[in-house]
Amino acid sequence: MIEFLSNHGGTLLRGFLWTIILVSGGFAIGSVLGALLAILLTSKNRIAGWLARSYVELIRNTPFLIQAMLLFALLGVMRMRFEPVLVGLVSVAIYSAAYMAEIIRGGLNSIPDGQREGARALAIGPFLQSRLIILPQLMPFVLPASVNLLATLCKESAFLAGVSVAELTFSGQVVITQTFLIFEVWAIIGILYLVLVLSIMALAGFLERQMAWLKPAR
Amino acid sequence: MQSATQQPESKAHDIAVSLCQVSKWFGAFKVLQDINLEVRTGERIVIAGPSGSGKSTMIRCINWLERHQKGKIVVDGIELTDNNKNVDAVRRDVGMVFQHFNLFPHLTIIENCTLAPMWVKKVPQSLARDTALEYLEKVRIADQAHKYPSQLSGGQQQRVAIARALCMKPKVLLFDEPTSALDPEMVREVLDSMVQLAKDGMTMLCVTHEMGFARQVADRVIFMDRGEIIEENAPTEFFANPQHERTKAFLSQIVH
Repeated sequence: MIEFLSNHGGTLLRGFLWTIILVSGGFAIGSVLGALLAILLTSKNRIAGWLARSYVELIRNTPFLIQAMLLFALLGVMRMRFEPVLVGLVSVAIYSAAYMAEIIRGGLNSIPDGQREGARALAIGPFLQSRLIILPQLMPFVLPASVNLLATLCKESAFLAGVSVAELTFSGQVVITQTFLIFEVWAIIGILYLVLVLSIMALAGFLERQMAWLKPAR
Repeated sequence: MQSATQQPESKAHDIAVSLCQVSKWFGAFKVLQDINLEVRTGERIVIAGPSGSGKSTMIRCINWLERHQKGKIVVDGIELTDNNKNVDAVRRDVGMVFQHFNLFPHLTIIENCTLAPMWVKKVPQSLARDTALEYLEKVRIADQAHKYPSQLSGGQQQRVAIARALCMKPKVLLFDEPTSALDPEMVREVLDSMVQLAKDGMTMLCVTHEMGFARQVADRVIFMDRGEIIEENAPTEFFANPQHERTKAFLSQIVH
């Protein structure tokens, strides 16, 4: 066991860290893109709304692995070479943006028009409306849903092994080819994913308690 | 010459709101047809009429929650145009109370009342809170200041909405069916607060079906139908002696 860990622990740990980097980086970029998409989805501009809707439906209704493969293939056709982890991170961003857009759109739709109207009647300008009225009411809605998305991303990112991104699952495959300890390695990999996802859920619970002030008292 | 230059100035003081030939369409449907209305400072006006007659749309044009497409609206000497500064200035001067209160659910009662004064008028927090408590006291709800809107009854929420509007020290208050969404037993407490405001000399435009309120405080009752002002008169005359057929039909249908 000690021999196994000293020989292969580094590979697995590196894969574990890359998974964290891929998912958190991709999620961060995806959240920003998702917020922009949500604004387009709720805008009155029909063309912008239609484009954003098409993007969201395209991404949400196709497998993540296919999207990642297409992105790698596309870059290959264009003869552009990037680090696989970078391309992996971008594909996580592309994927999470679509889901984030739907989460934020749902939150925006749950806020009645009367809220902005009430603020407008008080001479509160559009920027302050968003900051003081909309955003605080959006957070209790968006936070739990986006944590679920983050947990899903951790699990979905395993597919990136299929396009040779050196994340956790890929590192597992590498160790297996060297040791042939199929069951043991996959068990370790499974436990590592479990630890990751459960930590995210615990963090979410903590954040939610910290942000109790955001929720209107019922 | 002298009198010609003086007159618009004194007019700006006397006339709080003026609508001149104001029209508005929703698509092809004309909701407001050449509305003419002058509201003097301190005047209390009740606007009545069947639903869909354009009453709400008309008062919503006064703080530009709805844009008018033709004619001229001047509020306290400021004309409502595409110029954002004008719209902003008018909104600072005109408070509004909505049918569904539109309180901010994530803020306490006192925070609802201090938000706009602090962020829009840059009033220091302590002063904003004092003002808010003063107005909450006026609508007899200061003891609920630290609760959230959802913890209050509809009538209480609407009184908070009145206090919130007052905290901006408006020159004109608009009421858009303030009691229509309330349970019957809560109508009285809201009307009492409105009567109190009227006694204090606030310029008020109220869209309401509360004809008792109209008799009690209105200087003028305006009757609208199909986007037009059909009739206007002092309340006693309006109820005792309606001139227009549609006014008669309307009054015969409502309980008052």
